[in-house]
Amino acid sequence: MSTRTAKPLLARKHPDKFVGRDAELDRLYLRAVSDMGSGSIHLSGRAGTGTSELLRQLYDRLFFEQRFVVPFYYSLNSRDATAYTATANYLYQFVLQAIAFRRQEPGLIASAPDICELETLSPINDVDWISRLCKACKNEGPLNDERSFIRSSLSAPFRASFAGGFRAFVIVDDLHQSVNLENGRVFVDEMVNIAGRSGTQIVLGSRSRYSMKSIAEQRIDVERLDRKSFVDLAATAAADRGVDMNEQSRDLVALKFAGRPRLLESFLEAATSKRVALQSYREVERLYSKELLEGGLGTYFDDNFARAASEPILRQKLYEALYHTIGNGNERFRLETLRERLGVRPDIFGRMIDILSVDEVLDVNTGAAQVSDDEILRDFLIARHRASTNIGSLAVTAAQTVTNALKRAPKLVASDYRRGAALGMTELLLDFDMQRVPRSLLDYRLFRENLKGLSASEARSQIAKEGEQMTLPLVAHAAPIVDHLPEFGEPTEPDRAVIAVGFADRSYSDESEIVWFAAEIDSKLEADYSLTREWVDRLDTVADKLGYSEHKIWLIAPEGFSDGALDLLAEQGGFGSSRKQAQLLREFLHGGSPAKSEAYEYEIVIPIGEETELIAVHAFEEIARKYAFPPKAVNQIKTALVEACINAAEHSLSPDGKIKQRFSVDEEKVVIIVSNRGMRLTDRMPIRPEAEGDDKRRGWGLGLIRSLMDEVRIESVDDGTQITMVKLIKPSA
Amino acid sequence: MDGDVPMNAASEGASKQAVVYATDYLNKLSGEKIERECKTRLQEGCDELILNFSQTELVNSVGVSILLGIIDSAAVRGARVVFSDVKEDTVELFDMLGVTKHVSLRES
Repeated sequence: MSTRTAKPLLARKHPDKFVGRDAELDRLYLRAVSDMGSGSIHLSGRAGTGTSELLRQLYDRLFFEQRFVVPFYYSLNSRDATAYTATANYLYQFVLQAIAFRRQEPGLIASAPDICELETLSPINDVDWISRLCKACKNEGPLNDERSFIRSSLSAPFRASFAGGFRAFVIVDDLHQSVNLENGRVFVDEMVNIAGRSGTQIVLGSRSRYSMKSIAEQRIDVERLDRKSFVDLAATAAADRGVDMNEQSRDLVALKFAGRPRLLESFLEAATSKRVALQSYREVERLYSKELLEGGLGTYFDDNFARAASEPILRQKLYEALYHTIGNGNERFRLETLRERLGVRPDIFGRMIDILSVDEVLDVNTGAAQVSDDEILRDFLIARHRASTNIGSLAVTAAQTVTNALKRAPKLVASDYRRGAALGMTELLLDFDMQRVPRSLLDYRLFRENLKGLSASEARSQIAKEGEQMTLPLVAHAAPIVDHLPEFGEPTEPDRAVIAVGFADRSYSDESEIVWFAAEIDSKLEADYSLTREWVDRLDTVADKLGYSEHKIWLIAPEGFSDGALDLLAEQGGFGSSRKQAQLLREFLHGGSPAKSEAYEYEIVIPIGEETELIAVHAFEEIARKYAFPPKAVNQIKTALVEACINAAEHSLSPDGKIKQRFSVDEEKVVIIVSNRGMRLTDRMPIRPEAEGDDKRRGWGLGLIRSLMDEVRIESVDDGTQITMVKLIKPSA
Repeated sequence: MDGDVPMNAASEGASKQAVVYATDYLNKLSGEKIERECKTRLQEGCDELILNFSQTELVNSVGVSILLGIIDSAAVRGARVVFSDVKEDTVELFDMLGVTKHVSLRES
């Protein structure tokens, strides 16, 4: 991540606050500044994933961090109304940004001087090409015809770079907005043609759903941020805005807006402006409902719908029609039926559907459509329906919306917990790759006989000696069953039931083709015959529906399977495994070494008081006993911990009188974070260098901690101090 | 740290030599008790203070600073200070803080 301290120029966020896109940003930046020559890139992403911010961050970085490549960013905007106006703006923006870059005056861009003034600002060595472009900008109308003007203007940056002896890097964003422009397609087609020529470096940005000619040498699909990055983003964005949000609320918010920073930030902005704390699900859902009904979230969707149907009565009809389809199990409907219901001309309806598709309101496919799988959109449609039926009673609509959202919140979070705890069947199957593995890693009966009850290390050594081996198939494609058959969604989680398609050997022939149905099932004891039968029948039904007559079933239950259940699976040529087996199998497929264990965390809060640090020490002793830390390290850590607590107790003037300790333990180290509210260490008076007598004998605590631990960080946080201490753990001799 | 161990520093001995027992956790509270006991002994004319650390498992920097105060007070009165039965980890800690330069260490 860049550590530049300058203010953002086109970007909306400071680069340090731009989370989770470092890889894409570095890749694009290197592409722009390297001498790899020309070649265009098409960057696409789903609505609200932050693709445009990524491109604006790229522009800023190119503007501030190098001098060789002239960056240019242009975003197609529906306000331009026509392709001609958009092109004229493109040309003006290029001249403006190029002069600002050459003069290194970022402020010029925001000042938006007129074209005559711009000409006078051009650096001496750029006067010729800038004058030529300014003349083109000043023309009231196209010299020849509109298409020629568009073509000529869009390639102007490359002509200018040739004349000016520099390299231009052109970023044209939001191409999907062309559906809102008159002749918008002409703009896109010309841009795409230019991007396809040699000697040009262009990044074209658009929504994933927007289809355009394949021109780009490379296509980058910007995925939604992963859960962890998005949780980090939610925490950072809340802290930046001073929103009081606890961890439970943060996780719920991150789930609700999953991977859509734009909506998340609109929501947190509302929390700031309305001075709402987000300390409970109720507070989150109340604000969410308010925002859907009369705030930023509602406006976001209203704007999308307004682009598709600007006339309010038509729009309301559209809301109602879509509301009724989601009420009806969100089944697909014929587009022609919707057109008749709305009573609009085919050409207007076609444009409407294009916009709704690009904006991800509808999933459209061959004359039929369904409302996108988007909880917020669904909530919006329900809220709009209720608002229209509870005329004059916004309070009733708000009450219904918030209670429904609250009912759903724990389920949403529970579903996420289950997803987090799932084995990750898709990845596991893709790892098979024709590897030879001990049979006991799949067959629960063998596992029960040979490995059950052994410690992890004993099991590993037994596995290494095992003679009975089997070859796993090569899985070419694995995906959740719900992706193939949406109605399979209940009651399992998507990642817990998977179809894998591949080959039994590397002949890649029809005969060697295989299909595996794998599912993680719940059972507190060994899964019995009836539960296993139920799952086998269920998966067989799916196989029938999908036309897979030959298939193998692999079930995984936490505690394995009863003999009857295993016999049933064996009759089908399938396998039953325990969760432990699946974990060992994954380990084996990754080279036999144990998966790097995640750190276990323990937390304790002690009051500041006489010898309360001993409570923390006792807690740590228990942890150390559990992980068999060497005694010497334990004593050193205990002393360091006591010193950190004394430090917090003596100097912080802590308003809540509490010291928090977090112990994070893995196989290699223990990390202890001691934190407290109150006076920060940096704000305290230093020990006087000339101190004598008793004074001279104090203030050793931090030095002692540093001597005893392997790594120590002392940080002043907003309201207090945090000491992080790391001790590397060497196994006891 | 064991609740059964008395927090009071105990002492024994005659006029010239005194043994003062440190408790399991040497901190401000227990250090001050030791300090008071040592001062009493010094005032009684003791010329060798033996601080016994056989029960001491954990020491903090405040406790160590009090020990240094005791060493100073003893030096002023011409008495010497001996630390006995100090556990290995505690010796290392005393070394780090420069305490062992001023006292003798011994096993009882």
